[in-house]
Amino acid sequence: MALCIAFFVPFIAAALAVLFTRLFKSWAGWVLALFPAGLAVWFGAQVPAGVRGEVPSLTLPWMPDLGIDFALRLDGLSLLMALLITGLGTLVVIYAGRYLVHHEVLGRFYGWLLLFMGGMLGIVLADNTLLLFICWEVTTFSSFILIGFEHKEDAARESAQRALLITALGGQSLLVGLLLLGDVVGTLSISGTIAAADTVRDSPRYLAILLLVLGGAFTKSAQMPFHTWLPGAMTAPTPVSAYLHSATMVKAGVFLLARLSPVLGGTPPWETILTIVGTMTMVLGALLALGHTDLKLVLAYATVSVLGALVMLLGQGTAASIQAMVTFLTAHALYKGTLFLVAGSVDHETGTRDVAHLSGLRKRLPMTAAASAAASLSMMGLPPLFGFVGKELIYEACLEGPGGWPLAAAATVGFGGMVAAALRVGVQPFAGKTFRAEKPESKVHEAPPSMWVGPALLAAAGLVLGLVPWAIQPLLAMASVDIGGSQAGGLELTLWHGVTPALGLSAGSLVLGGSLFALRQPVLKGLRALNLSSHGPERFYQASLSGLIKLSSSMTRVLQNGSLHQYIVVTLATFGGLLALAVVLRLGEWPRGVSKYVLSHEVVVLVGILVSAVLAVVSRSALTSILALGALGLAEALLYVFFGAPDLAMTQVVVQTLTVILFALVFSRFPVQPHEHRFRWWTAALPLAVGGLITWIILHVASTPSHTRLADFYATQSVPAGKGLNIVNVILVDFRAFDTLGEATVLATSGLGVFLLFRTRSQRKKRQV
Amino acid sequence: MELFLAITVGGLFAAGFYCLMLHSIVRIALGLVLLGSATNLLIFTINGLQRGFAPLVPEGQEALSPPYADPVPQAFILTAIVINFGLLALLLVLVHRAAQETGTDDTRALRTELKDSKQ
Repeated sequence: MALCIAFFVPFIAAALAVLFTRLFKSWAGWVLALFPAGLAVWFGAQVPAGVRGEVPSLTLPWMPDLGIDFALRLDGLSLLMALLITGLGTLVVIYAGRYLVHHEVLGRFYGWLLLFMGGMLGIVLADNTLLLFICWEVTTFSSFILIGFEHKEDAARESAQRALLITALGGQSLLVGLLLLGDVVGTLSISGTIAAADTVRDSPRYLAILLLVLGGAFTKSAQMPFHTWLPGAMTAPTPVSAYLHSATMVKAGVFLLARLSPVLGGTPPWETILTIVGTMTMVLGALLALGHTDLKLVLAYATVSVLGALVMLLGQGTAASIQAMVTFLTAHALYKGTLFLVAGSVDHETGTRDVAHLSGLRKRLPMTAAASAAASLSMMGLPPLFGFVGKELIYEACLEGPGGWPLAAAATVGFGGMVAAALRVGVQPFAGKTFRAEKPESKVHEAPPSMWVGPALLAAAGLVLGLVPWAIQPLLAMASVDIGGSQAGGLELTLWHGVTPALGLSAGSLVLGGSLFALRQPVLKGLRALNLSSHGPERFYQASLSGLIKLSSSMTRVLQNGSLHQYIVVTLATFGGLLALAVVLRLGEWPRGVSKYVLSHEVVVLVGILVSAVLAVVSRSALTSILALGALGLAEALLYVFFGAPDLAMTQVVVQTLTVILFALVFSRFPVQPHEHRFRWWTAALPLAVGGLITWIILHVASTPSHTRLADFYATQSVPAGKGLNIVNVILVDFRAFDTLGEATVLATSGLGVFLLFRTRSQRKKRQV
Repeated sequence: MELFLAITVGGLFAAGFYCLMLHSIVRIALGLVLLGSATNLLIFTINGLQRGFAPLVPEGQEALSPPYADPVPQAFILTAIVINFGLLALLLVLVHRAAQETGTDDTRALRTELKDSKQ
């Protein structure tokens, strides 16, 4: 039950955000942070129970007929992610309260941020694939809003649109994949699916499921070639970048892969695709990071690189690689969150976040500089920080795993790029003797406490965990077991592994990164000349977007050209085509069992109907057509009389009479001569074909006549329940009285319309007088 | 009987659709009336017909015993007839006003006239 409350707390906080921001003004950040802080404490308190092997879970039926339950489960992996989400969330909420203090709609910002937190927490807690998907879409949508938060800027809108298009398309792919998965396993429960993993792997639909799920995970976690939305997402306010676009949301894809790896993992396609895509993303992301001087862009590409590394590790699938994945994910969340918040503070205090214009800030921003230094050392993977622990594990996993030396070499290159990126964003702005910034030195001062407490705490956590890694070891070990099964247990974190090949690779990446940083000017020039990010996926995205717009405008030109005649032809042809399809596929044979018995007076009436219809259509005179219409209505009323429907006959006579009078009234005073027309056979071809198809279908339907059970119900209940002998009347005014009320409403509305139309005319006449 | 009625309904639909394809808005209104009749007869036919035997419970009895005509489609049609009429009344007045404003009942001309009047 507590789990259920935990699930809803962020949503409640989101609902209260605007009110609280009004009430507490500049303290709103601290007050709203109490919600995630409380959650973090609660989740933290669950760790000992989790280590003992208890897995709290909860299942409430939601849509039982569809197999959709409100099912939550808090295993080790969920617990780790939940702690990151709520812990970082607390610090980001506090930070944003100061960072956006003068923003006019801070309350709305908090609302979306907390809604995102709820969605993200839902993803990691859900034990039902569709509940997970719903929360997944909540994060997609709130991310869209937050990226476009400065919606008056073109760039923000463009980036938001791009992020939505890419991640929502991935979401659709994920939905189909999850539904297919549910169909194969027979349950939507995630723990049930994991239990039935062999069924999935043996299923002929395995590959389709894998590719569809990967479509969702890769778009969300910005893997090549879907990574282009993440750098664009940097238009969001910096707290959002720190929270959504480095620490949590972009890891949702990685989380999903980790969650489903017991089901989908361990097969050749899984290993191949994840390893290749992950490695490519890791290396190219690191390379692209070096081509920028904007602090946030460098961090964004470095994040892409890390996400690639995490996916690559999941693809390897060995016990060591899963342990490395879990450890590095945690380390990354800590240092990257710090660096983003630091970048935000630098931007906030100095007015620029272009590293080319920044140096020597450490004297002016001591706390921020200290946090930045610790975090960038962690990013570079230097002891005694937690990043070092994670990086050593990755190198070991690569060397021991199926990827071997080539993969380890690729990782070294990737980390080399990250070292250079860390030096650029975390060290360069603060180092140096001369002070450089947009604002003069005297105007630049340390950020207020609410803006350095977050980065400082995160950086300190990275340092403490590096020194005493056994503190977090049980939690990470639990998460590893949840991903890789019991053979992934036995995680042992130590800061110093001795002199190993992994240490050699670490040194290699440091040398590579150091030299890349030393040669930063030529590297920057070269990469800018290559302009990598505007080729490939970027060009494809632009081309498909403009292609889509061209396609829709040409479709509008063809289909919505304003000609009523053409609309009707298109509608009728489509309708006829669908009917023809139904006839060809299902109703091809000659209808049997249709009554051909007919009485002579009935034939007379039917012929009368057809003749008046033809007359109404072909007559050139409007008056003849109107009279033919009247005759048709009366003949129809006779039919109703013959076949046991006296009420219909009476109504039909009255209404048809009114119709004819109305037509006659309108056209006796019609201001223009009605448009003449000649009957044309080629115009009649399409209507005749559709009419013929309708006849054919009626014959099929009517060949199996049945007295409805509904009819029996009304026949027996009309008198006892409705107190009426005329069953049709009882249906209308008693059993289905609401329909009749609706009908009366339509009639009244139409009457009002008629009245108003006449009135406007009389007013216009008055004006003319 | 269903066979012949089905043919009649098909014919009515054809006539209605034909009218919709014409350019005179008066004829289009006429087509809507034809389509309304066609639809009502379609609902009437598809569940089978019953000669005589209106769904009326004889005085003093509690329930109606077969044979009787199905009351459910009849209730639908009764609603449909009235709604059709409401729709038609509004349409005719609109047509009338449009013709008054623009001096034509040709949908092609109406379109250009309305465009001009907007400018």
